[in-house]
Amino acid sequence: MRRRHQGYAARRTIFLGLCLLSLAPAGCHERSDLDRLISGGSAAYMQASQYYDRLGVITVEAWQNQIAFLSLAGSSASPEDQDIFQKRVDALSRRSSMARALANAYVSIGSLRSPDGLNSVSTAGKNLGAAIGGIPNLPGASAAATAPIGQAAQFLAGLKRGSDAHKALESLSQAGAYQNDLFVHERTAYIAMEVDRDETADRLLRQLAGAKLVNPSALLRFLHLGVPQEAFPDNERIRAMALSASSVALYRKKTAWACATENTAGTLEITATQTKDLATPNSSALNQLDQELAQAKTCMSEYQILDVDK
Amino acid sequence: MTPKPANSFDTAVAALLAQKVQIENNLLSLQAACVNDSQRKALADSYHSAVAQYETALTMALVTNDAAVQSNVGQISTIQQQVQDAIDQAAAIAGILNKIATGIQIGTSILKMMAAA
Repeated sequence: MRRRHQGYAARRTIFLGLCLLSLAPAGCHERSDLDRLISGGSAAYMQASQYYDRLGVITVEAWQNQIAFLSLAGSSASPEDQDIFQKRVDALSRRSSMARALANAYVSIGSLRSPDGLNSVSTAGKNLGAAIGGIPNLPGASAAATAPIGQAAQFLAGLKRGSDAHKALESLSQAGAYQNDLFVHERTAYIAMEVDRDETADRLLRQLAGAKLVNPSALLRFLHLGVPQEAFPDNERIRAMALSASSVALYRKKTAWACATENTAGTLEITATQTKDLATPNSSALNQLDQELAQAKTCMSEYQILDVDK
Repeated sequence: MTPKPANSFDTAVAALLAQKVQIENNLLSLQAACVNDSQRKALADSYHSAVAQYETALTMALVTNDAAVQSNVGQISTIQQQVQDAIDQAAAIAGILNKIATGIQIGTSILKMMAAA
């Protein structure tokens, strides 16, 4: 038992030593996690903003599909119909703006933390270092005796930046929690908007192909057969095959969008939770934030590739 | 400032979507079954209404939370200004550090003069 205690004490001493060596102003572990939260949070909100921007484009395209379908039905869109879509585009734009504002706020907090973002402080620190370096040795003292003065100045500057970053993040905590709640509560609608555009287009295509008003054989390119569209005759079997290929492409897009939605929701939740619990940063949660962010970006990229091929 | 949940969206909007999808899946066959222009117009009007109802419901899922979103954007902008102020305050440290550096440089000069004397 005593040996075990000694082992713990030794590990603790090593840990404290590493903390002192790094001259962390607000705690060895916390500083690194705080910086990770600031950069990860900024990236998460920027990802959310891009997600909303993409959803805005999807909404405009859904409107185009709907106009085409109304036309096929012998009707036409009214100004009220357009107003419904315009309100949706505006609402998405506001959500994008909110996410971008949060991302920018995190970037600002990051610059508060980063010496690179505070050039004047950095320059002043260098001036101080140079001044200290120019001090001749005092009788009986070594040059090393002047080093703590510079270290103390850096420590105090870092402490202030750390404290300001904490205060700024705390003030953003409520806004971040709201952004997270909003996304969670509306994500069913976000997924439905994407599905609305694609499935409306798919139903329109099936109606047109069924009435032989369009030849869907170009959709066989999704099978990567290496055969040009002109090689396919316009007959029942080819149409059925082309529409099946379209269904698979549609499924892949829905899956990619749902993946981007869920992972974006995950990044917002972790960022909001970690910002709220600043006093107890959690490294494993920040690791998960990195993973979900990477996954959200991958899914969004895959979705965009599939969307271009539609 | 809790967002209004879209839980009811799943049930209410699903019914509106089903109505729209049903007409879209059968539009041309329904049109073919119409025997006169009056029936064709009734079909077109019904479809138009189905579309408008569904798309309105989808938009309402967002619009109900919009006032709170706008208010939040304003608050974040205010906070960002406060962060900028904090950055400016932190930059003021530069002045303090520079004054310390000046004091040390003067002290160095004094020491050098003393050493030369």
